[in-house]
Amino acid sequence: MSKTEPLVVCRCENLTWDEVERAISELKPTSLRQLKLITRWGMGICQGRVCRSLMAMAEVPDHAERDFRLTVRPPYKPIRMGILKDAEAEEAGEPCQDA
Amino acid sequence: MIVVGAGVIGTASAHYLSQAGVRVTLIDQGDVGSGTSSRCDGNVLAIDKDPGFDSQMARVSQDLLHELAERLPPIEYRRPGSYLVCDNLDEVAMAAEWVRRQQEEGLPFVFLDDAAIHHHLPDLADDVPGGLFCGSDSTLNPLLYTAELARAARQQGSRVYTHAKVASLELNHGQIRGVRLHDGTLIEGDMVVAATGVWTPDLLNPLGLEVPIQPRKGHLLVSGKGPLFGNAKVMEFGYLMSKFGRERVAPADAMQYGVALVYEPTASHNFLLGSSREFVGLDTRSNPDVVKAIARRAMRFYPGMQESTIIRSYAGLRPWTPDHFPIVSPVGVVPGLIVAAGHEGDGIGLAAVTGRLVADFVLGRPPIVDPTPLRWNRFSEQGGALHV
Repeated sequence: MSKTEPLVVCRCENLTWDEVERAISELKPTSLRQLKLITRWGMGICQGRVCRSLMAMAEVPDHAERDFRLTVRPPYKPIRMGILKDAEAEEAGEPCQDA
Repeated sequence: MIVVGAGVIGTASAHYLSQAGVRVTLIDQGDVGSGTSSRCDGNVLAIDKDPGFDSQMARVSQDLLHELAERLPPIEYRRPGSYLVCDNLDEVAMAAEWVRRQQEEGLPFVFLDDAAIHHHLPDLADDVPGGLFCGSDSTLNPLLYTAELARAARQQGSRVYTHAKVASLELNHGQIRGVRLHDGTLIEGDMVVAATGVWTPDLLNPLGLEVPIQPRKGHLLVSGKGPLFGNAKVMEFGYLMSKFGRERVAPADAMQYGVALVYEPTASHNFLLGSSREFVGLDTRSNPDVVKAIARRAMRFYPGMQESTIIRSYAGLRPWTPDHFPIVSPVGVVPGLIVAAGHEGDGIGLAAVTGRLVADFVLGRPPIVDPTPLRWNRFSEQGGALHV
């Protein structure tokens, strides 16, 4: 792999492998989660679906059992905020069943 | 000496101590900044503090942070000020009074009437009748802040042990002599700072010390990258009502989960939305009903957000105390023990003043703020009425 061009490892957050290595050497994260928090890998719109297997190669002293499952956080996929408002309008439009 | 807890409070304490030449051993059960300090926003606020000691302590912390941010590597620190926006005319009347009292304290507050608030915040819903601005409020990336404070402490000679859970405080003739880890290791030190947030009672109760800290859960929503709704943070005035238990008018789902608008634009060009306040134990799972209530509340103030995208939500546990002040205090009955915990939603904002105060205690310097309202045993003292 050529080192002449920056290797982008997280496209959502435009993060390069050089930046990952620098964060590891300077801030000494002790898990992939902490590496995520300081570099923002996996915090973009794909929620790590693309970059997670790549980032698993990062050499951090992971004390916890290495676990590559994604932490699933609602709403699970990107949603338009208006959907939540529409649901409210629908409820309000329903006939009232009882007092 | 030993600092237990490598969240923002523990790392700030370790930084100020090691900067003064004290060698610190910083210990955490997880990573640096892996508890509440990674499940929060980056607010450094005076705008929502009671006029008087509360707001003055926040101002001192803001000034300390301003100095810190110049010394540390970049932590996305900026000082755009913050706004409170009102839902109704009753809140506007209270907001005007709030501003008057803060101005008397010398704080940089400005009242904004109907015309002024829409001039400052053009994306607000047309029916928002007023608000206010605090010019000293700042913001940062809490994940980087905590990590950089730990790095600075390390560079100044401190040691950082992660994934090491403290099982107990060890005493010798009633005086601190160190901490015992779960694996049996004894780490010796004649002083221990408990910067253990919502886990503080677990550490202190075995010594018969009662501290009334409880986990108060809060949710945050993260938007996708896209158009922002202004560069300053915006909260609703009702936030003060829920925070201090005053009466507030809001929709049922907002009231049920203690939801009030918090809008925070980040340097990564997305925005965070909060907030909720619930006493539901140590569960940090995200509740879709709360997510929905927060989104709806945000759209009441920002109708244009219905076109925004939400990509995830998360929840954290604020270390709540009954009077909303943290405990930053030596524990007289156990020489060598200092508690620095219970900052509720203000740990990021008050980390600098807390760390500095801890160092003042250890070094015997005059305290940077009056520590009397922060003493650990104030809740059990006779006649110890709550200050709000």
